[in-house]
Amino acid sequence: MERLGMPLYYLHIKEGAELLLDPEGANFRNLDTARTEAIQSARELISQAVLTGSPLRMHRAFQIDDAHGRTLLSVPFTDAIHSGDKL
Amino acid sequence: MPERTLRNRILCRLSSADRALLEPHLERVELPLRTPLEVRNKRIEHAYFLEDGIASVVANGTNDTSIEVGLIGSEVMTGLAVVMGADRAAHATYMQVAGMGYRVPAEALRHAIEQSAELQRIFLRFAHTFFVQATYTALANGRNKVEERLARWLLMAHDRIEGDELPLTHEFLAIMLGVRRAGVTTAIKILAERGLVQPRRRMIRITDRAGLKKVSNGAYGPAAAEIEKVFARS
Repeated sequence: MERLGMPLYYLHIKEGAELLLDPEGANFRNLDTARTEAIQSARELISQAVLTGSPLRMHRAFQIDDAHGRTLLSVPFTDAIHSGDKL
Repeated sequence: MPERTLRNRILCRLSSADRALLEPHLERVELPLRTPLEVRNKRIEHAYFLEDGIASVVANGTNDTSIEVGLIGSEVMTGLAVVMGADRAAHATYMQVAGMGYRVPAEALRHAIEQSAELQRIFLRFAHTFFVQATYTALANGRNKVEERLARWLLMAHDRIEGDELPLTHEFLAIMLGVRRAGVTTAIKILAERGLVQPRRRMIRITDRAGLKKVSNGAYGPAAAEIEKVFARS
């Protein structure tokens, strides 16, 4: 749901030179909560890959952009396992 | 309620006597995106017979978690809880593809069912198809990959709209499948690379139904067949 007053962030997935675009973006309270979403999303994608025996592609990273297309942060998938962030 | 515009498949299949019980109470309503049809834990005010558009029944957990547990188009109706004797909604039901339909006050629906055993029989039969759909959704959610579930969901939505273009956001699809938006984006890419769908902005075009059925890995089919069985027999 759109949360008014909260900034819009795009969570694109970067894999080498390729960028899988987040077409809509989503509203988060701040960059930190957007990063938490990226971490949890990476965990979901990695665990799906483990379950189905697909390549983990741990070299991927979430690229967090703001509403103007400026890149604010890169969140490597490896952070999802090593960060110790709670769900 | 002019006959020519009637597209709801339940209303279409009622006998004229049964339809006459409902007709005086039916109100035509426009149903924009996100219109709430039922509110969780609240009294059900109306049952809706959609002519167009898609409604979702969405279960909410704690901590903002939610997942779709039912999909309703013009093939069935909302308010089945009322048919089964309940008066409150267990879950939220809202429009996720805008449309229109007819609504009848819950009280008038109860009264009509009391007057016609045949009407009650038909509504209960449809309630069963909806139950069957929910059980197959549970199976898919527990046992199928995200792209298989997405394929199933797109086919179920495609069954309920005119044409091949589904106006859907990734945000909605994430609720439908109970995954994060990134899971939707990744699954759509898998289907798009196989040429089964064409994603556009806030819209997904179905380009290969047979291919989607194959990808759904058996998850799509039984629930749709159950509905067709009712229309074939009753």
